[in-house]
Amino acid sequence: MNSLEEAKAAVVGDFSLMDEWLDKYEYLIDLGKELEPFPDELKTDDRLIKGCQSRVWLDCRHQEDGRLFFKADSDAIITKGIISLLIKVYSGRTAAEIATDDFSFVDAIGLRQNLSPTRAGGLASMIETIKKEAERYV
Amino acid sequence: MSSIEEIRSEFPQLSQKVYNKPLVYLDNAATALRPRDVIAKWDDMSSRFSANLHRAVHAVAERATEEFEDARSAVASFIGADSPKEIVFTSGTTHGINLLAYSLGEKKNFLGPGDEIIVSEAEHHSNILPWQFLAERKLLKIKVLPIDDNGLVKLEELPRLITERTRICSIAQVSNVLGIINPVSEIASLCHSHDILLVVDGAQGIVHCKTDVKELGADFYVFSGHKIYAAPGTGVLWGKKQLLDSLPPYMGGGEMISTVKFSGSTFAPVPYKFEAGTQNIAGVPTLVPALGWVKKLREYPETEGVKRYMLDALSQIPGLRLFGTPGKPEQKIPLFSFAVEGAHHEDLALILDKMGIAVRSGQMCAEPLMDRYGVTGMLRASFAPYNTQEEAEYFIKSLQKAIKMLK
Repeated sequence: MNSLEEAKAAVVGDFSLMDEWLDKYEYLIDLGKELEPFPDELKTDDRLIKGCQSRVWLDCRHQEDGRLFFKADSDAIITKGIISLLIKVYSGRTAAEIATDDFSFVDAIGLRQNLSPTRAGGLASMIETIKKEAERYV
Repeated sequence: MSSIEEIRSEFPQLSQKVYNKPLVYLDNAATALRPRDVIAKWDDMSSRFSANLHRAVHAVAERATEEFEDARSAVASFIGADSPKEIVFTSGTTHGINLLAYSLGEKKNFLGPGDEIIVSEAEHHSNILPWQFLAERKLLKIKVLPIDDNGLVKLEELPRLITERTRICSIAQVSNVLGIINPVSEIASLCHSHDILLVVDGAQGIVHCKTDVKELGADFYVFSGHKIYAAPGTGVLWGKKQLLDSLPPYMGGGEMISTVKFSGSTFAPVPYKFEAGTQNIAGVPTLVPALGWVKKLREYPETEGVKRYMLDALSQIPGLRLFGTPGKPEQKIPLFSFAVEGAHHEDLALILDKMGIAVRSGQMCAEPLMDRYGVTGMLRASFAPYNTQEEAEYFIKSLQKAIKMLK
């Protein structure tokens, strides 16, 4: 597995190739579609992330070696793409790595400042949820 | 009649670009744009006539007071009130309804446990929550007037909902989601034959419907300035004089008193009794030029064509479900809320945004209505008379492109 920094750099690299916002959305839509299916029985209220205009569910599994594995789903495809991006970068990392990361790569790809305020709130909530999960196991 | 280009040139924001594309502003039901004379009045009030109202005797205070009171007279004649004294300035529709829900609750010998309030299923949260608060405080019951699948209120249900305990009915003149013009006059006559006070939320209605409060038959009528091209933070509560007289004040503070003693205070006459604290001194005078625009734009003939084009074009998009379909286009304002199968409203709004189009997505402050239709949200394009046929066509083309991207 590549390192956390390598994974982030790969995403930033992908985004740097796209000038147009619609291309970035196409990319996120594709990522959303590629996300592995999320079982309906995991769509519970305690997995629902608050603060998103669309619904986002996040499931976190803790492995004995200290690594965390995330699964997620959303009823909106761009949001699903964003959470898929976060999973790509953070799933399979150790709790310590995630808890101490600053998640600033979302700024580097222009996600945070270019999404609508409600959506940016949603992104912030997703990041916060992932961090909180990690902090529980540190 | 001015050309559409002349009208548009008076609204500076319309020439703005977003993401290097011309802004297509179709979120007018959330807030309308402001024309130059409104901005000029606002600026003039701030740069030359900043002074508090009614109290001081100095020149600028007198001018500020005059401008403020002129706006009151302009509003009164615009909506057909008997007197400027019937016009209470508020911060907006939400403030107006909260004021009413509080003061009606404290009105002597009016409400008791078990009394009932009727609202429709299609109300904005601002016309639900204040009544819920009141109901909790006074142990009242809220009853809901349902709508049919097309979004029309089921008027035939109203006589069945009314009991001898019904005291208040509060309904939107036009729904902010469905855009349907409600049969307020008919509701009013039913209410009045049962001694029920009728509150009308005119936030959307005042923009598109010629409104005379007496013809409408309302007891109270509320609306916001920002939806009729005036400064945000301005609003109007109209009430029949004897009703306003009978209500206790909502907020205590400066300006609303007659005498203040620790042994007890007496209050100023209406409307000042309801205008505690410093008012929106710079904003309220902008209602004068704004009302001129409402009058002019409401009659603008092109809007009707754009509306009919939109109804037709939307009906041809596969998988699109339009909410608020009264059958006759004249029963609807140019506001279109819809859902598209397989395309989430938020995704559509995000993509349209990047194409330069501003629309609203989500529950639109009407969660019970979303539940009624079994959707998590909708996309809403709301037009003003300054929106053009070309913009409507660009919107439809962009929407089709966005749907294609998502499927």
